[in-house]
Amino acid sequence: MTPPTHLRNLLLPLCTGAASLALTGVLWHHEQQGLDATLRADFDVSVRQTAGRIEQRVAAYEQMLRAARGLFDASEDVSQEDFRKFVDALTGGTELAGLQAMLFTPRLSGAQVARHVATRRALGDPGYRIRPPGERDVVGPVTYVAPASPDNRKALGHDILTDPARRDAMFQARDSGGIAITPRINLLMDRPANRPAFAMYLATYARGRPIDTLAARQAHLNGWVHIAFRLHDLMASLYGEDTPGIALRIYDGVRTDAASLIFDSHPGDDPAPPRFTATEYISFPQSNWTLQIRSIPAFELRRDRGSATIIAIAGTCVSLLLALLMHQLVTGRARAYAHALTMTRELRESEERMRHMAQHDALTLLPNRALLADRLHAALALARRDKTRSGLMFVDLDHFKPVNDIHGHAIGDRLLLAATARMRDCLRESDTLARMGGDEFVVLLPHIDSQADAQLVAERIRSAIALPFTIDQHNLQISTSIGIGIYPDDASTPEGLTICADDAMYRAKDAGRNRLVFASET
Amino acid sequence: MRALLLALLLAGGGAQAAERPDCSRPLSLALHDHGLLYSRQTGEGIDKDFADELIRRSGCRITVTVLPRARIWQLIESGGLDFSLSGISNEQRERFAAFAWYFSNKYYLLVRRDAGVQRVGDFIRNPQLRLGAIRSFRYGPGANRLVDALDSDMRVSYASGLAPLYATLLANQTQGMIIEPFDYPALESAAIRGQTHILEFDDPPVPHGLIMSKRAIAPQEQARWRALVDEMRADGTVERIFDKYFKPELSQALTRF
Repeated sequence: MTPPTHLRNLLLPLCTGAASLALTGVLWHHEQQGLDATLRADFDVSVRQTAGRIEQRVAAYEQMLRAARGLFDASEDVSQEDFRKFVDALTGGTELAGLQAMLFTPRLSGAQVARHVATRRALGDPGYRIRPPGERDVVGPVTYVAPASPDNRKALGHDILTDPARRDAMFQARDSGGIAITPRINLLMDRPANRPAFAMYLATYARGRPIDTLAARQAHLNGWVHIAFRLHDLMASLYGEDTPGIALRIYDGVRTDAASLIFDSHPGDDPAPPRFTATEYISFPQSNWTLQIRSIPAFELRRDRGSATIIAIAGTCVSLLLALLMHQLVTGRARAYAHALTMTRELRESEERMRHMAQHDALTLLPNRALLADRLHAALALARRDKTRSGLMFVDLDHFKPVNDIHGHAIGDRLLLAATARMRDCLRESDTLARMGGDEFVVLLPHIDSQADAQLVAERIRSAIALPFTIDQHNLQISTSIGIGIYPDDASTPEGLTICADDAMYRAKDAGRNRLVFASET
Repeated sequence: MRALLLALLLAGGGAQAAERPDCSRPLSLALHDHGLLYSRQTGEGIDKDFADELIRRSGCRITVTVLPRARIWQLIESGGLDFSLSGISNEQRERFAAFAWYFSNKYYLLVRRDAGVQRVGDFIRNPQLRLGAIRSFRYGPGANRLVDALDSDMRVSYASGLAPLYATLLANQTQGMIIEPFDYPALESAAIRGQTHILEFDDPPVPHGLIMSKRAIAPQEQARWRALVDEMRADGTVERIFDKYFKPELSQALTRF
């Protein structure tokens, strides 16, 4: 069973539109996936770069510490001035912002403390003292600090072994021979401010002594070179004020709670869920940092050129246009056919109208002279063949002209129509009533048996017209003068019959009107 | 008996390549902090011992540093570092690194008991589970598939070293991690043993070896270093190093492959 035409006409455009929309969907999806993949890859790079930069900065700090250890390995007696010059040389021209201070702390036994204090005082620091006071077996007082700014100098004399967090890292550094980083601490120079900061230690050992075993490293410990840095300074030195396209939080340890938060690039800014998040752990000896990295809207905006949206909008528009075009194509033939039919019908009607106009009188719509001539020929040919009679009557309306003159053509025309109607009522279907023009009419009776038939019809017409007409409350009185010719009695040709009937009509007029006269009458 | 045969076979190869590596310039070797391979806390480990022996035998001056594994691979690729240890190969690494194998081991999935993971596939199926992994680490084919699938779902938290992975596992921030036999001592901690269990991948043991940067070490030199490593295997040195850290059966399983 085939669906109805209008359904078929809809189906193809709908399918085309749907296919085009589906293709648009596939393209959009592909573009979206491509964008997702690019974004994801970019995000991964950002994550690795972020973690990598921090690790490399810490590695650079480690290199500085190792260089400082080299200084102590190279010289038996490193003075405060040597240390300061060394640190100046080390940091001069390098991009190591974020570093607060580089320090040296000797490991002293309780017995060495008094001499140590005396030496420091003798070397130009009369106020030098060990803090906190009190007797301890092992003391680690900060002895050198560079740069020696007033803030940094506050650290001098602090026995940092009394702080458990620092002590653990210092012993860790001593035991491993490598670096150790404290968990979050407050810098001595920051007190009482509470800015997240860290210290990184590397042990120095007695010159020339083996340090290849744990016991040897513990036995030959000389002290520590260490650096202090604030995390915000470190991050600012890596990125300036902002991180590109990402928000970064750093936690001390692996727990991501508020208490462990040590850096937040976008503090207080926790908008809609980010498109990408990643957690990355940076591992140091004895310490870990958790990096929580999330994309911010700027990250996507920088890369999203809106191509997926453009594809979606353009594809939908093209799909609709395609469906419309397909609809036009599918229905075009049917519409052209319907249009042709209409035009043909109009042409036929127009021809019909033209033919009618050529053969009929415009006012009464009665056949005109031309049509009458055709019918007269046909009627006489038939009568000739059947050997029957035909009658032709010329009917002239008497006193019609005065009606026109007195009441106007409009009334005259309506009188003509009314007279036509009355005459029509007197005729058979097969008879022809024609208007010759003005007030002249002709009646063709194609088939009569005798002159009496024609007389009967003519008399009916005469009587009908003789009755008064009421048109627009005007009582109008006219009559008819009728001349009758009979075929084949009066003439055997149409022309002959016409002439004799016309002649008979004039004779009727001459005889006083309102009468009928046969051509045969003399 | 098998060890003896292996020793004889490898000793033959070693004799042929008796020429020592070129030590005309100082060389660099990086260790990474990873369980028994090397511990920054103690300054000791299998790779440290291996490096010491390699330095002794070659007679070369080799600077040993400790770096994150991802950084090591970057430097090996760029030629900024000559050697590292305990590396495994893949198609990508073959382009820039040459290897001299000295042990082989399998990988395992260490997973929290409360994660409801009975088979490796269970881990992928549960979208709530996250894996902790060391950045740039590769494993056997099955473990690689797991890591790559989870990575594409952004379900992997990366770390530069092993230590934070245990901590995140205990804190239930990740629910699994991939381990090797060198990580066993950590498993002996009561907290980890009590909360985790171990699943095996269907992978054969993966050979590990000395990593040589193709940019830094010429092919002829690579052959000499490889011969040196083979010599260390053949004369039982490698196995003796492993014996310091593992029971004899396990060190045999790792070094005889």
